[in-house]
Amino acid sequence: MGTACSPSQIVLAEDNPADVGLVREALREHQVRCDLRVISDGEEVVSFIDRLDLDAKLPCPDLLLLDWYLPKRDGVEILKHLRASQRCRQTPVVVLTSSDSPQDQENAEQNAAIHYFRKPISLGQFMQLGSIVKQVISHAQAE
Amino acid sequence: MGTQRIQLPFASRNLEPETRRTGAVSFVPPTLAGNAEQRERELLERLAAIVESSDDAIISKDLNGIIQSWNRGAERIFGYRAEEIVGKHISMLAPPDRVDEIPTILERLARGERVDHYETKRRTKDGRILTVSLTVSPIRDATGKIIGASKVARDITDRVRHEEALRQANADLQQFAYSASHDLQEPLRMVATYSELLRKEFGGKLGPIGDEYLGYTLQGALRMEQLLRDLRAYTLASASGQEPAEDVDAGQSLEKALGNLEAALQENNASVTRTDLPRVRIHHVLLVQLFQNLIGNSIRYRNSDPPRIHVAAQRQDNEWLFSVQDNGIGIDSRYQEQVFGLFKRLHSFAKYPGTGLGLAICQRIVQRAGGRIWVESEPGKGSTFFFTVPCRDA
Repeated sequence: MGTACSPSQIVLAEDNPADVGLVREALREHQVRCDLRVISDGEEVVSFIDRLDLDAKLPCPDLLLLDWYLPKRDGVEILKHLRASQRCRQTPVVVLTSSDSPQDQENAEQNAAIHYFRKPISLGQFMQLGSIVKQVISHAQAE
Repeated sequence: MGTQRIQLPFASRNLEPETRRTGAVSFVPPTLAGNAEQRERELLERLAAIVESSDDAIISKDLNGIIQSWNRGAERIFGYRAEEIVGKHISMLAPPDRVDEIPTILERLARGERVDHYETKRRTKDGRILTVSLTVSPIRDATGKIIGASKVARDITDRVRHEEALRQANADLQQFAYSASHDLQEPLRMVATYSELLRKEFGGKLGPIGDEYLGYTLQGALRMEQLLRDLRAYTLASASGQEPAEDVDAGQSLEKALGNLEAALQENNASVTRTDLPRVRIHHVLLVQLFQNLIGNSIRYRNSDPPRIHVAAQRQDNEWLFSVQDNGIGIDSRYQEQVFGLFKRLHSFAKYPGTGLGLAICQRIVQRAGGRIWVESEPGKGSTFFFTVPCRDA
């Protein structure tokens, strides 16, 4: 777990570089101190989770920012896989999506996603993601 | 003509006044000379010729279901010649899974009831299955006793197939419009957020013209976003999805719509009053959208006074009549129908921003629920939008 002096470990599962740029901007704007690891493929996120289970020396991330529609594996599969993980099933997850399907939101909530963030068209609203991330991390550290 | 092939199933003296009343054919031309017997024979020949030349299959049967007569239309549709089938049982024409309906039809006929435009399947001589529309009515003798039935079968196989193809094409088109408007949103979001980001990082450094251009880029993207959102709402309102299974509380739908409009209501110092609203058979989300669009318009097309909006409903015969009344700028009577058209706008975007889809969406929602929508208005005084929703208990 990250502490006040070491940066938080955040994994961003996102295949659109423009959205990666916006997420970085949001984290910067809200001064979130973090190491951001970007994974752009659903299959790779799944094998990343598997590696965490195999190697106890690797730390579980403090937060997974998960785009709901990634190549090869979609959000609900990845989320289920994470929740079934031996070591890291408690990892907080914020879902990022452009989908307005209520079914997607329900699936995310059923698999304990902390927040369901609909990617907005306004930059100001997108920047709110930084504040959400900050809250989730400080909440997790307090526990 | 093949009059000999046909055994007319009716007593002619019953028929004459009956057919006369329909006004379709004049059976006793004044020029026709001769005695009553001859007139009757001519009449019969004429009737037989009409039956024979029909495109529809016209068949008569007795109350046991034995075929008594068979016209050329029947021959064309089912493939049997009259000699092959007269005297056989009508169930020959029913495919195995429809044989059960024959006794029911015969029972209904024996009770003197008609079967009107009953859509079912029938089998041809060479085994093809047709979709047919059947109209079967009892035949009475001179004393009024039911002695059999006449049956008109129309081959609607092609029509049904075309209707199904049309339904499918419409559903595909709706799916396409919905997906396209959703997928177009993503690149647009990039244009919008990154032009904002550009302004945030470099605004003021591009010079006044650069800032102006950036402003237009952003405005264009936001307007496009609004259009796509409305287009999606429109296709959603038109989609032939499941019809609602139960009534919704229109009052709750209105509250939800007002919640969504809270910022605009406050900003414009608008007030909304209402009567009690009924429960109606319409999708909750669509009813919310309907109220939201109508009240949103009342706010947008306001005049200098703060908007005063009144929502009411009253029962009228078999339907509920809803009204949304405002004190806004009103609509000239010349445009009161036009406003419901797709992309129809009466004002410049700069003065009253909008996509021209709001009322088209409303019309779709109301029509889908089986109702009507219209507006009554006096320019300068305000508008009242009315819509109806049929009552289920009616």
